[in-house]
Amino acid sequence: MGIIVKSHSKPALQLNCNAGLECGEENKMLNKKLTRKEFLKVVFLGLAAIIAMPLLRLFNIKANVSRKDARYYKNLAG
Amino acid sequence: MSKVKCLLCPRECELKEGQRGDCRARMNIEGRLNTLVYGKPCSVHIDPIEKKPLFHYLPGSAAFSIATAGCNLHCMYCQNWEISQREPENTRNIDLSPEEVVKEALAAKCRTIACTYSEPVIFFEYAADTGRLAHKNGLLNVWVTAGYINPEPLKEAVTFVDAANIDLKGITEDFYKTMSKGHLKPVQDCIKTMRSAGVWTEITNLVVPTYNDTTEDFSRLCDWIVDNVGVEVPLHFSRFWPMYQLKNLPPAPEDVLTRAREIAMSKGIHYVYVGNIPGHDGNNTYCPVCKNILIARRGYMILGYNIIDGKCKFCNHVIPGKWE
Repeated sequence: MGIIVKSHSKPALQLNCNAGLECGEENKMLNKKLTRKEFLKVVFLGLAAIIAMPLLRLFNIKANVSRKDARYYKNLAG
Repeated sequence: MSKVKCLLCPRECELKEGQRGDCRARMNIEGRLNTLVYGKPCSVHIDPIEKKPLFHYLPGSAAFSIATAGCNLHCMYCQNWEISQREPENTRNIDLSPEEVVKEALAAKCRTIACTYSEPVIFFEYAADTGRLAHKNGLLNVWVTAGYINPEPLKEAVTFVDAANIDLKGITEDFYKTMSKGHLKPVQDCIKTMRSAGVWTEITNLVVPTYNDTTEDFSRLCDWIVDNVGVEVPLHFSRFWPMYQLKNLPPAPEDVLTRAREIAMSKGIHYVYVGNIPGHDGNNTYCPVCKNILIARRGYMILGYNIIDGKCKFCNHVIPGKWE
């Protein structure tokens, strides 16, 4: 007769459970309602991010591009 | 901060502070025009020179090929759109200075450095510095270009470009506007200038179904070539494959490419090739006098070679090109 070894190791990936929570435990955070103040704060931050993105891009050229003087151009008055 | 006007290509973009040109590779930074792609290629390969395609220039040799992101045209069928229609911030670039390009090309025993894939015009400064260094080290320079460049930088380019394959994408202004968001005349001027400056020139026409594949299109294209640059400039008709914004079209039929070649030869053009169809008779080079096969090819591979000291082995006719 073979010996059945019961494994006590946890699976590498826990499915259907929220990270950091035991299975079955409710995520109380999801049930919490936002106050008006918190809601407006989120909307404001979102709008600010959308407006700021083009400006960020202007000043934040990533390191994998060059900034070297080009040739064949002229400055325009005004 | 002042606006700048780029004078590299016919678009002549006027750029406010922080604005980049249509090519995506040049930007006004603090009132000075900067190139964003100097020493930052996103494609580096060693290719057979036949891939450019160049069939009359150092056949069988290897070309050290580089490209950066960006392009000053926006062709709906671009085969390299993933780099040509991207900002350099959005491509994976490596650091490769002109010195390093030359060093790598020599180490790989390449005969040429090819600026290709996207568009060398838009990485002009990088191509120019690399090209001059290449000459100092015994290497030759190849451009694979759409030819959309202003006369002044072109005058400089011909001092370091040794061979070029130039796209003549269509023969009508309407085609260039619709297909590439550009104009025809600057490209034609570039072809004429390169040829008259002694740059070895070959022309490619990509045959796109329903856009430039009529008998009239081929006839007019060939007439222009014969009248302006002569019958000895090799002409490549290349087969379109569905790509980028034209995935709805089928590949160009083989018989259309065959017809294009026949029309070109009937107009007197000596060397007419068919590309992207391995095994086609148009892969080979024939003597225009005795009609014997001079170079047998399958795709990019050379299977037979009958040119001796730049002449046909059979009838001694001088075959234009650089053979050694």
